[in-house]
Amino acid sequence: MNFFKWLSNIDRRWIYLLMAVVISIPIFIRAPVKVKPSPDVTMLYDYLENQEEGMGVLLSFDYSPDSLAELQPMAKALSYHALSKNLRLMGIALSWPSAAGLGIEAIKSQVDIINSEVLKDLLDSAEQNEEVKTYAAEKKLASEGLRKEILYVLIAKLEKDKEIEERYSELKGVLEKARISSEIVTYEKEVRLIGRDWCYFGYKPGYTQMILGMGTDIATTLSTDYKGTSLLKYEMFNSPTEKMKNYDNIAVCIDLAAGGSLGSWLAFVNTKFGRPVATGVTAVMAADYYPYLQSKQIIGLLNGMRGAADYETLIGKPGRGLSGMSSQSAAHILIIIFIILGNIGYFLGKKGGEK
Amino acid sequence: MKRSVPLAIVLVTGIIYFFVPFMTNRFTMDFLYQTILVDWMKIMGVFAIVMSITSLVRRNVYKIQRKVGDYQYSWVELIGMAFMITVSIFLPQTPLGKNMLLGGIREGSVYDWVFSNIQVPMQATMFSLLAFYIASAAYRSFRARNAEATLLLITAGIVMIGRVPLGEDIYNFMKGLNGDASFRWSEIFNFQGITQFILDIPNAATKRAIGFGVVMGMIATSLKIMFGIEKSWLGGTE
Repeated sequence: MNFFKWLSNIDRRWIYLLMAVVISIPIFIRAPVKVKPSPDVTMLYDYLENQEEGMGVLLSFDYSPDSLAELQPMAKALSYHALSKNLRLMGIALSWPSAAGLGIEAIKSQVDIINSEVLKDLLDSAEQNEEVKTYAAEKKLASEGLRKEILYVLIAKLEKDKEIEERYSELKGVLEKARISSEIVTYEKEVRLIGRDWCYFGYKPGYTQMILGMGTDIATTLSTDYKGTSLLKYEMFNSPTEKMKNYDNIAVCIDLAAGGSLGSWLAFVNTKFGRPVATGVTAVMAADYYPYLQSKQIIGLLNGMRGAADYETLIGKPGRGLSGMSSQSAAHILIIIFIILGNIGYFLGKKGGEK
Repeated sequence: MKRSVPLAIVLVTGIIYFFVPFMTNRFTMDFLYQTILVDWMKIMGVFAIVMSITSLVRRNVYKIQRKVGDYQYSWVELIGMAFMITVSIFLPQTPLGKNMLLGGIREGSVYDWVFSNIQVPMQATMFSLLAFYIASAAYRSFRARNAEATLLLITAGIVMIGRVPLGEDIYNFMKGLNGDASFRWSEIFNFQGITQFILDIPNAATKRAIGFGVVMGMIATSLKIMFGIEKSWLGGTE
C-alpha cells in the first residue's frame, strides 16, 4: 500500500483518538475565548432588553439529556437574562419527560445565582457569624455549600416552603438564633421568588393541546407547577392586576428544541395568537429554521453551542457555551485537516494510478 | 361498519378542523379547541400512557421468557422502570441521609439524583459519540469527486470555520495585514460573514423550496385520507 492510499484510508481509530485529544485539551487549558455575537442571537437579546418589567417569558424545554451540551447553556443564559431584567420567567417541558429535570436545573440555578448576588452582603455576614461557623464545622461544609444552604433557608422563609425549612431545620434554627433570618424580609422585593417572579410547570403531556390551551388560560390548562402546587396559589396567576393569564401577558415564547417542536409554536402561538416566538436549536437542525427567521415568524435563533456562546457574551456571563468554543474550534480544525488529507490522498493516488 | 365509521369521523373532523383556524367565534374557541383538542386529548393521552407501559412490559417479559438475543437488557429496562416509578410515586418523602429525600421528584430526592447522575451523563455520552462518527464520516465522504461534491466540500469548510472563534481570529489577522489598502482582499477571509450569507440566502431559499414541496405533499395526503382514497392507515389488506 503506498503512502497516498494510506492517506485516504487512515484507520478510523486514529481519527477517534485525535478527536478525543483535541476536544479534551482545551477543556483543561480553559483558554479565554471571545466571540462576535451573530445578528440572529442579537435580535432576541435586544428584544428582551426592550421589554417592560413584569412581562412574561416562556421557555419550552423540548430536549432530552443527549442534547444538553448545546441547549442547556442557552437555557441558562436566557433564564439569567430574563430574571435579571425583572421579566417573569416560566418554563415548561412538553416533548420529553426527561426534559423536566433539565428545565428546573436551568431555571433554578439562575434564580440561585441572582438571589446570591442580591443577598451577597447578608450571606457574607451570615458566613462570619460564630454560630453559623460552628454549624458549618459540625457538618463539614465548605464555604460554597454553606452559602447555598443559607440561601435555600432564607428564600424558603419568604416562599413559605415548609419542605425546605424542614429539610434544613437545624440551619434554620441557627439562623433564627443568630437573627439573620429576620433580615431577609428587607430584601423581599429584590430577590426572585417562585410564583411571583418565576414558575416552572414541569412536564405536561399533550404538546399541541397545552400550547393551544395556554392561549386561553395558562392556570386552567396547566393546573399545577412542577411541585404539584396549584398555580392559582401563586401571585403570578391570581393577581387581579398583574396576572399571567395567557400569551397576551408573555413577551416571547422561546422553544429550546432538539426536534421538530417549533412547528406547533409557530402554527399556534405565532400564527393563531399573534405572539412572538424565538428558538434555540441544536446546530444540526439550525439550517431548517432560517426561512422562519427571514419571514420574521421567529424573532431570534440561537444556533447550537455557538448560539449559547453568543448569548453568554451579550449578557456578560461566560458559561459552558463560551468554554465549549475552544473544543469546538479544535474539533472543526481537525476535521478540516482530515478532509484535506483525504483529498490529497485521493487526488495523488488517482494520478499515480490508484483507484 | 368497521371501516365506514372511522372514515366518516376522519372526513367530518378533517373538514371542521380545516376551517377552524379561520374562525374565532366562541363555539370554535370553547368547544372545538378547548373541549375537544385540549380536554379530550388530555384524557386520551392518559390512555395512551397506560397502553404504552403495558406494551413495554409485555414486550420485555416476552423477550425474557423466550431468552431472545440480548434479553438481559430487558431486565435492566424493567428494573429501571420499576425502580423509578417506585421511588417517585410510592415511597414517602422521608429524609434519607444528609439533605436527601427517599420519595418524590423534587431536588434532592433519589429520583432526582438518579436522573442527574445516571440518566443525564449516559444520554449525553451516547450523543457525544456523534462527534467521533461525524469526524470519521466527513474524512471518508468529503472527496472532491465532481463539481457538486467540490461545492459541498468548500461550503462545509467555510461554515465549519465560520461557526467557531478561529474564523474571526483569521479574519481579524487578515484585516490587519490588509491595513488601509483600498482593495479589501481580507474580506475573502470573512468566514463569519460568508457563513451568515450562506445560511440566510442559499440555505433559506433551498429550505423554503423543500418545505413548500413537503407541505404540498402533506395536503395531498391529508385530502386522500379524508376522502377515503388512501386507506392504508385503517390496516388490513383491502
